[in-house]
Amino acid sequence: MSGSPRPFTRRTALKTTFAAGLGLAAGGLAACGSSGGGAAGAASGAAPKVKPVADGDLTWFTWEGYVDPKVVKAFEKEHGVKVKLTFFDSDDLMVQKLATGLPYDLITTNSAYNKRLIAGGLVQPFDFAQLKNSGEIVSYFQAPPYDRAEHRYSIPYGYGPAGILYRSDKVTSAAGSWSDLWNAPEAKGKIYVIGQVDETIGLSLIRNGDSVVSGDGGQVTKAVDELLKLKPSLGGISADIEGDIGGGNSWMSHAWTGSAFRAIQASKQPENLKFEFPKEGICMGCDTLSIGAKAKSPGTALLFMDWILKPENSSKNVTYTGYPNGTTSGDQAYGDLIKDYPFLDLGADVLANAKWKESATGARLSLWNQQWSRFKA
Amino acid sequence: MERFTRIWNALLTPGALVLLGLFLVPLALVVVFSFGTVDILGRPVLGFTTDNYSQVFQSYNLPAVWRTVLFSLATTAICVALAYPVAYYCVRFAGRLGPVIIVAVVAPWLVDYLVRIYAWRTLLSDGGIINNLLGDVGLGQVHVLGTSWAVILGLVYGYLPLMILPLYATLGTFDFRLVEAGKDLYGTPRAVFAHVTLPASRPGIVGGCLLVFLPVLGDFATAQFLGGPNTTMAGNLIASQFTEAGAQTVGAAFAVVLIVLLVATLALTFGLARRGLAAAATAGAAA
Repeated sequence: MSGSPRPFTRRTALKTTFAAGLGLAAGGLAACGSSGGGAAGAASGAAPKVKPVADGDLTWFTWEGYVDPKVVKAFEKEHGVKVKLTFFDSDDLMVQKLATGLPYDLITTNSAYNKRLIAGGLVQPFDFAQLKNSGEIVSYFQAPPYDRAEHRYSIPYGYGPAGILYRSDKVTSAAGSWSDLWNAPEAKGKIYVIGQVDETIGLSLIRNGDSVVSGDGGQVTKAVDELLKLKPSLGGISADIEGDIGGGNSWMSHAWTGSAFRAIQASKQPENLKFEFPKEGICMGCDTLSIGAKAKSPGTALLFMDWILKPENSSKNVTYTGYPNGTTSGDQAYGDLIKDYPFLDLGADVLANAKWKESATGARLSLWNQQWSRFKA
Repeated sequence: MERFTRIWNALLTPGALVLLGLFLVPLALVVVFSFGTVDILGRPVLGFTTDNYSQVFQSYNLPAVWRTVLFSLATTAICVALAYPVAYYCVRFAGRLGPVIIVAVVAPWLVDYLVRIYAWRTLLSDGGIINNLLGDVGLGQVHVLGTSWAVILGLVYGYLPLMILPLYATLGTFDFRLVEAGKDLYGTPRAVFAHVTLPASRPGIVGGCLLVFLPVLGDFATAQFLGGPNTTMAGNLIASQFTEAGAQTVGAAFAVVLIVLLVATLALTFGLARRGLAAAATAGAAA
């Protein structure tokens, strides 16, 4: 889940759990399979050759339930190709499976992992100018922090960072800060944080005024010390935000906007649910679409990117998924979707306050891992 | 006779090969990876480092390990206490209903474990069915979900059939005339149970305990869905290394440590059980 948005249903929650068991198997395959994902992506300098022309059926590796089936159907009809969806349950498993060298054409990647995917040669570059609808992408995402290499490797697909979702009939102390989690004695035992290392250590780092990708042992230790102070007030460490809020277990949840939106929609008293983006900053991730380095139909993949950017498809898809996608039409559709809940707005203010995540590797990986175990165990 | 042995050996080979391929090879990979590192894509790279193990043997992991052992022991003990009367009743008093009860015990297994655990979540939530009922009759709220009790409850619920079945099988072969004989020898019901029935059902108890204790030691789904901030089990720490942390090698090292713990438990139990059986046999012979 890595913090970025996607429809986290109970079904996916269940599947994620068992995916853990499969993780090792995937790892085994990785070591036995090809040693590299292909050099296409790593090559720099040479102009990308891929053109938006249908060159075969499309295999799309993505989250389940993360696209409007009508938009896919229409694409199949328009271009006379089939779209085959295969699913993953976590970004880490997506990277692991991709690294085994499987020939996916289109992949729902994530901004936090894109640098690794590019460096590892698992995705291939394309020419932005080849996309007729690239002008649809809002200026912020024309050159986002995670995709500023010589060539483009992704288009934005959906984002919905985490803030704080709370029951306004129970919690009276919310003041627009991450510290609200620490300063809500009225909700003791009813406070939940997301059970995900980057989001939860991330929020604590932001609250301390440190970088969300800090590799400094002192800073990360301090962030976890703070989380340990929060722990006695916690009711749980979980990613099932809708279930926790809906089941009455949580009065105050560290929550992604998409989960907040669905929790509000499912609630019998939606007026009692409020959401805030803390002023210190927001841990940011964005799902993106990329072309696999070993794609069999890279042309169809690029064509599909153009298709999903097309205003009518973009707004249809955003209405379906519930996440803005960094396009003009998508923003509009999202605005319509949340017009009754203005606190879920993801406009310029939020983007200006975004602290972009990057998945950890090397020394930072073991530092964060150890500190996360210290918090969880 | 020898010909039969050869046939059986031949029949055994395919199964043994499948086990070898699908069990031992992955296990060997886990061990190998536990000494490796990961590349930028999180793939295990062969090598020799003990860093992964030093990340496992950290004092902050201890609470989760102790908790896991404690949960496993508690679950096993509760399962024995609950399963023994059920198995005994099925064999001794239920008559034709016995097998029906056993089928009823196993039937929930036809439904996916996670779905059943999710049902418990719905039942135990603070705003869930049980709490609503309690509230309606004016008994107030009980906060269960997220506590150790919820996790142990879930584990007992999940693994109870694994205790009932071996006990049922063992007691099924028990000759209840021995109980009558015990009574004829002026044994009180308690003494007859302690000296006749219980020793005879020891294989079932030992088997059931192993079948429950070992998988509970590696369980992670129950704590994930029914647990709270202070119920993390070793299995959860391992699972998170694979699905979210991108550190498969650390997960592998943790898994190896857990496997060693499992094997040690197994060896210890079998050792004790054999000594126990031998003692029982001696006692039986002496009697």
